Amino acid sequence: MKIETLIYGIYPKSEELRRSISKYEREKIGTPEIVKEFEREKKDLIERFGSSGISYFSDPVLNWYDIFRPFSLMFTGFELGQLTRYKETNTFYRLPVVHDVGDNTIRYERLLEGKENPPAELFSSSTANGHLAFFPGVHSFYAMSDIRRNISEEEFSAFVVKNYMQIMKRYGMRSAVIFDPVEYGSASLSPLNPLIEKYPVYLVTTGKLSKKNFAGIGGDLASVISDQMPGNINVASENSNVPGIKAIDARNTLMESVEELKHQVSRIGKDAHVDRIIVANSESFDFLPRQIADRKVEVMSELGE
Amino acid sequence: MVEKILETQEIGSFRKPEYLSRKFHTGSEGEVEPLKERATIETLQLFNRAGLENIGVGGEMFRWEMYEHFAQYITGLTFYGMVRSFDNRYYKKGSIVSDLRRTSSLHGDELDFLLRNSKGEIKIPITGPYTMMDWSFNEHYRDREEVAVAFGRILNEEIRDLKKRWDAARPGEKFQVQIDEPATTTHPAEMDTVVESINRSVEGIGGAEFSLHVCYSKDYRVLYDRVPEMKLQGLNLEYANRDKLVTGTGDSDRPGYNDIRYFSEIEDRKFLGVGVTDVHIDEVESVPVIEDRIKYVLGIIDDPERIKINPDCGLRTRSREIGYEKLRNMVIARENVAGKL
Repeated sequence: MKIETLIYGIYPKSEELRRSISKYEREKIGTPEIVKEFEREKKDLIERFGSSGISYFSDPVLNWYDIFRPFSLMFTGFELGQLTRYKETNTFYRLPVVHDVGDNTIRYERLLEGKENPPAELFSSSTANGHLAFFPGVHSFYAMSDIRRNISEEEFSAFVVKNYMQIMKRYGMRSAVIFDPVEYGSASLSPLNPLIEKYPVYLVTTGKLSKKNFAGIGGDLASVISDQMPGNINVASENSNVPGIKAIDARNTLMESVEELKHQVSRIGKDAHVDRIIVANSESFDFLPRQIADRKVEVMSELGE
Repeated sequence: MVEKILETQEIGSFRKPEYLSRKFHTGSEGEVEPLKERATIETLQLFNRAGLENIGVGGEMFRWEMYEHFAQYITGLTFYGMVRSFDNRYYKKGSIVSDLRRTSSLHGDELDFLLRNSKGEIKIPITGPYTMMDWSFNEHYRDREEVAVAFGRILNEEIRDLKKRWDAARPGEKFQVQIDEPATTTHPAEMDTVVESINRSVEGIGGAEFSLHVCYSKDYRVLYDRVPEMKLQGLNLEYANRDKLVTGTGDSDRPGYNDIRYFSEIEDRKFLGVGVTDVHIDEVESVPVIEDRIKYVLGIIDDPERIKINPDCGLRTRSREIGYEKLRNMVIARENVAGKL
């Protein structure tokens, strides 16, 4: 059984970076200094992920205050709404308010304004192997936003995917991980086709999967990574090159055991008749203290050995 | 049974004066304790000037944050580092690594100080067991329910401790505790655990008035449905943040207050503390707007002994000046409505 590993989502910042952000908020340091600090810490993390043998890792997106924030700022027709509880956690995100999906102009300059999100580029310019772009899934983006003017999910998805394509090109990204924190139900993933047909896409899902979700998908997904629920691994392996499981709990400090994980993955692979599985975190590691996230990454790096 | 009509109360927190917030975490105990006491006295004076009938614990000057304060009196919890709540705001989220035990009283010193320095009616807020469970990592107990019940046992000990102090200082007077549970209703499937842990917290403690404060719920009906099973005397909830800032708002435009109808169909004995001023905006609601809100609720629960009047939540996110103005207008509005009953 070949085990690969994938880390995605917002990574927790170091205490040093947190303090610098506070200083920036109090205008004790300026934009160029804080941008440099973000770049430095991102670079360190990317190097660490790569050198420790993590197979794939999304940009650690340290400067995103939540998974929708930069897009609410950059996309024309979007604005930031009120603080809203993220699912059932004690963490909050700014509700994207969507007024219009007609204009695909992306206002990249808003990333460096620093008013509602610390200033830094969306993604690092790393060319490291395994470095992926990170995007919130369009189904979840729609479900977790305040949609005005009767904009349908279809219209919204087409708009957002078109913008994601622009972003991939601008940052020279070669592959992407897309994360949906909301269950699909009977929704189709076909709006992702333009991305899937052009780039390797690693899709991280939540809840129960069904074959219906993948009907109409035009190309091959690099991976479908899912929660460990009955039937999910089979749907994932039928609809992607490599199935994956969210086996590293990003909502609990309890440390996973490498041996137990290897055993668990082996069993799952045998039952699903696959010989290659990707192991990923269950959510952004930003739900954990930084030192625990770092130790979980070490566990993942041992898994892949 | 509530004896007064439309009793005014606050919910808990009030903005700390700068001399206290600057030193709270950095000063020595000898430096900080007198500052907490001074801030409490000043806040009690402010509450009295505003005309509040129940002065709570004088704005929670002895506490910094509802989870951290509780956690520092517990063994079995360890802290690996800060966890982000939103933006660049962090809190210390503990990991439960062994059996939870209380080391000493969470709020005993605060209550002792209040009993020495105030004759006013007091309501003691305590972080509830379900919220403590939900805001902790669990590396030890079997499941979330077991954690919540463990916290419930600790709360029961704490409440008994506080009641002993109260009974010694104020024999025969009503002992009031408000259990703060912001996490309640975030996991609708866990309401059995909510009910069990809250009831465990108050089990066997007679001669007390227990209330539950839940703020910023997506759907209070999840809570209302289970209220009859809770061994409490009332609820203190928020509604003002979902209301318009004008008088004469119709039913369909006031989803919060209108939903009290559902509560009134399920529960006909417990009191309801109604949030009438929004604690997340600086705009000070006018007296007529607050009167309008109170009268609207009286149109649903027509027994004024069952209604208390409060801000939506603690006022610590507002300046002390704005906090005072909001409380003052709340009291004036209450007096105007009560005077015509």
